[in-house]
Amino acid sequence: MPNQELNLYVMKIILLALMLGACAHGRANEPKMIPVMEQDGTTYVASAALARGAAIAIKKLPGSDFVVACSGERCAQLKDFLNKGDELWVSTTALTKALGLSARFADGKRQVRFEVVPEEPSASDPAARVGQLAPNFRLPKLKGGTVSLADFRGKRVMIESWASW
Amino acid sequence: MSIAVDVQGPKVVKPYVEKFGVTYPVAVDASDIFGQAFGLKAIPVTFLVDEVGIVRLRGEGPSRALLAQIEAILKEPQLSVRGKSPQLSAAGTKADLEQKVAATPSDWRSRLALARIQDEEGQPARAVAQLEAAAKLQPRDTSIAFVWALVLLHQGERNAALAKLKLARDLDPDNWRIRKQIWAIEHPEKFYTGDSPDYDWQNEQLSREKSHR
Repeated sequence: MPNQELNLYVMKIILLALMLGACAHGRANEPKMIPVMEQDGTTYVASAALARGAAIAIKKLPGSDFVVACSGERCAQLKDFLNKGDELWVSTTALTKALGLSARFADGKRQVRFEVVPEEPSASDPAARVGQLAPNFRLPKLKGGTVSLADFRGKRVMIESWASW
Repeated sequence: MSIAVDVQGPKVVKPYVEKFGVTYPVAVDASDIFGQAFGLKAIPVTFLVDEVGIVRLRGEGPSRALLAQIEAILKEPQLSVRGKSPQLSAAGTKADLEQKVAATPSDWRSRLALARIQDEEGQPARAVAQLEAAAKLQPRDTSIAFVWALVLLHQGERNAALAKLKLARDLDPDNWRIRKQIWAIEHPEKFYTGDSPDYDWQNEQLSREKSHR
């Protein structure tokens, strides 16, 4: 029956659309090629391109001589960067070293793709310093449950320590 | 986030919070986990941690200047951060610390950090074992004595706890947090009964202790 054929046809289209969607989704999570700029023998990538293509966030803190780069759970400070136009360009070498990434260049070093290299957690002095990553902590709440600094990821959080003294 | 850092824990924090009708969530740091991580030597201290997880500000005591600094930071453009927390690395977790202690028995800092977590999780015997080992390696460390004191206090051993707290105070005489903690335990009536702590008494107490030294 033509009706049945039509149904089958519609189903095929839906299935195809779903498969394409899944592929596109998979590709979106994969690292993309990012344009590279070379200056004085050092290769740099732009912060906006990093955010789009590699989900790496770059932030410059006012009054500091470094930028902070974050990729997934890892954040680190970099000093090797340029201000060009309205954009921050960070050195690919500094970026890979700081965040434990590997850089795969292509197209005669005009493009690069970053991949995460699994690494051992490093031991470091946990005490909080201004300008550095805060150490995480988890504490019990007075009315039950716990609270962790990591719960506030993506938000600014003011921490008020006090005693009734 | 509001964190009460009295090592006596919820029993002294709760009445205060109820009396002043505090409605926001309050966390209690009876095991010095936050205190150690953020290096508290006096109270109150305010911190601002930004969306990326970076400590942007540390300010002691409430002040207008501090408020202005906080407002300036809040006006900065905010980064959109995806994924899990950068702070949630394995470093500093219980499993990580246990592994470090096993690999390097002389790592007294890891033993101390482990003792804090064990105290918080209600394992005082294990905490004391770590502290004993840490104290053998580093007999004159303030933090070891302080954490030992809070473990004892949580076990109801008030006098033994006070002895350790006084040892900690003598090792670091300028540490206000430890000094006031001793006063609050020895003289609760000066701290927890009136509308506010008796600051005149605190000044007198300080001059008494100074003349003693």
